[in-house]
Amino acid sequence: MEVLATQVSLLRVLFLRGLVPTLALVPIALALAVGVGLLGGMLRVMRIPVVDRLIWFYIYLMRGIPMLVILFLAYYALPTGNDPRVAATLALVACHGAYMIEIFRSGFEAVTKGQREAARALGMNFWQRMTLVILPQAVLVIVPAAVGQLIILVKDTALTSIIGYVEITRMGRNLMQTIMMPVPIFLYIAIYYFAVCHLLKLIANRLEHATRVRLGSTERAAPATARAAGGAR
Amino acid sequence: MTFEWYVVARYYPLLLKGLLLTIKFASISVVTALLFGLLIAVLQSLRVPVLARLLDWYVVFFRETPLLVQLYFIYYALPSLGILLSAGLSGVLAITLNEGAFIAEIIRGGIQGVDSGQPEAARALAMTRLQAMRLVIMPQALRNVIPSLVGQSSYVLKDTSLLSVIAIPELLSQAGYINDKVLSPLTVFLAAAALYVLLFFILDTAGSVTEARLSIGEQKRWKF
Repeated sequence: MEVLATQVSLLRVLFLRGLVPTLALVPIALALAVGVGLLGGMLRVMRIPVVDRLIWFYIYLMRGIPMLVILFLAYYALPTGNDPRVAATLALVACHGAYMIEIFRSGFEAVTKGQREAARALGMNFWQRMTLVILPQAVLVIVPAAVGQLIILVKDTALTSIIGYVEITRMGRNLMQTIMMPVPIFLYIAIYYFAVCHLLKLIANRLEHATRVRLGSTERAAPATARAAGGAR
Repeated sequence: MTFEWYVVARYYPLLLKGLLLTIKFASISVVTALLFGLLIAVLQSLRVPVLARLLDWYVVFFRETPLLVQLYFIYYALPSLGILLSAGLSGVLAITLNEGAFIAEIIRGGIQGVDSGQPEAARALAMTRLQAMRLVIMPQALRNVIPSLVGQSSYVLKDTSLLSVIAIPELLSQAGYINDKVLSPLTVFLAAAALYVLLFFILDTAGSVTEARLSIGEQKRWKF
């Protein structure tokens, strides 16, 4: 009975003082990353010479630098007032914003050329084309991919424990030092992450399916290279 | 705060030492994760009743939990179950189990992408399932997923930065160590970032080159 009580209180503490602060980080980081993605994606499809190159370079850097290094730079080298929460949010946005730009760009580019040309032929300006024609259609492609990226973002929040933001992983390490039960602690933490990520994964799959139905394609998404090879055969 | 070159000039040997260890851990982990992922994917594709289910769970669970938590479990929790591993082995094991799940998924996609006429033809030639897998399906499947696998190896490279939290003196650890001495975080961590980008550039370029090479092969075969 006592053992069970310990396990229940462990789960409770990990939820309230772990999972809650973890999830508190997500909405702001997600919203800002989507903002970066929308802006950057639009700028990329506009193909403004130097700007396009700069954004490409930013994305390349974010793909190449480990998240942990970005976190350290944000926490130690930026004037974030030694607040790990601010630094964590900034680092998550910097990294995932870059991936969001690519998601938005490919979403915009998935809208068929005919649609874009028709909008132009109707005399719409860039803003009208974007908001009335391209974005409503691109959303179908963007949202499932963005939810997929959100899963990676949620997993990356674990790294913020290293700069001292007290979320679930940090809570686990703290608890481990007071009660010597590393096995259940890290198992429960993994299960909490799994619950959140798996829920998001199911949502992403649903959305992807809905998109495929909407776009009238039943073709299974195959890797680009596999498709290329199949076409050549 | 500005970039202080003298710090780099004085401490670059430590950074290079860390870089070498990062390269070492990344290379070992890429090989073990590829082999492990390949094994999982092949076993999954054979659809042995209970085993296939277990492997599916493994892949899903390891893909949807953070590597850091897996690393902590292996490093802090396994010893209390009587499994004592060195820091280096814990790190390689964590990355292998984590990336192995992603790699298994990539390879499985490649196996499913092979035209269904191929295994049927293999069966018509009286090959066993293992023969068909080894001689007919895998060569085509792997060829199609090589660019994705090279891409995944850049994730393995970045994963090795987590080894700094279990006191392995790789690149990021060394950067932290230098920073503790000179308190120049911008310089030190930017230098580390630059070295990571350099390694990423090499892997990324290798990925594009292999992809281009492979597509040339496809065209040639087609023209024939």
